[in-house]
Amino acid sequence: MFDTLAEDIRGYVAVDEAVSTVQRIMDDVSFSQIWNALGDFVQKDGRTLVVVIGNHDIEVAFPPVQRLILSRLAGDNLPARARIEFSTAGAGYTCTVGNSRIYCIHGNEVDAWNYNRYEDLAKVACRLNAGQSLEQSEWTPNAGTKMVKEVMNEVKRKYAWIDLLKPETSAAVGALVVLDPSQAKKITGPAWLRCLERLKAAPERCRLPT
Amino acid sequence: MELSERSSDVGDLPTFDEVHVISDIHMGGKPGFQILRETSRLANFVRWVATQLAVLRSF
Repeated sequence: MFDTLAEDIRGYVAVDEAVSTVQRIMDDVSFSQIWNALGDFVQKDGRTLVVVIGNHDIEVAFPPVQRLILSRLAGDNLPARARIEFSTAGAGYTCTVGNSRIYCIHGNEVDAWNYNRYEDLAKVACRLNAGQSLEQSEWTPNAGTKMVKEVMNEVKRKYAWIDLLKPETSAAVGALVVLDPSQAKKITGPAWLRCLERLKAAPERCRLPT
Repeated sequence: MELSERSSDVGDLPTFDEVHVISDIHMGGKPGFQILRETSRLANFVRWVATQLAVLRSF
């Protein structure tokens, strides 16, 4: 839904600043039309808005952020609030249309570079509900987040179109090797290779059956 | 998503007349550093989806 990786946050996940970061996005005139349209949508009978977590809006798993979204879209209107559902455990969302079963996921669930560690997200949610915080040193970002925060955001300032090259791990990195080898070295060096080895060793529970 | 009164034969899954999926919206970043640019088109699409239940039920 939103993109905190494009925001000026400390570290790789917004914890104490999660609400203020999403609030800034809500207040940005660039996006206000969309929030308004979604707010109007949930005011109507028979509609349901389902927010499914991805890899660049992981803060949607945090209760304070969910409360903020509910408030922005539905205010105190209980029927409207009931039309908003969050799926933030990595399970996606399932329903039926006619005789067909529909299964909606963001896609990063099957992407080793961008898989979310949902247990870690639950830990942050637990801390926030308990009125506690999380040190950035306690958070391990996935490879895709590291790539965006450490390399791509800097590259984007010069080559704004780099975001359009998918998948990042081949197209964007390939272009980077040619355009800006010094940046490319950041994601082809020994630290990255170790990171990728850890990903390969990740348990199968992070993969959906194919 | 638009909720239907029809029952489902696959357990208690929610059943809808239509499902519209919008993926990777990417709202974020300051102006000049934003992936999402077609904000008006997306807002208009959401408003269009909101009208569809009435259209379906008019048939």
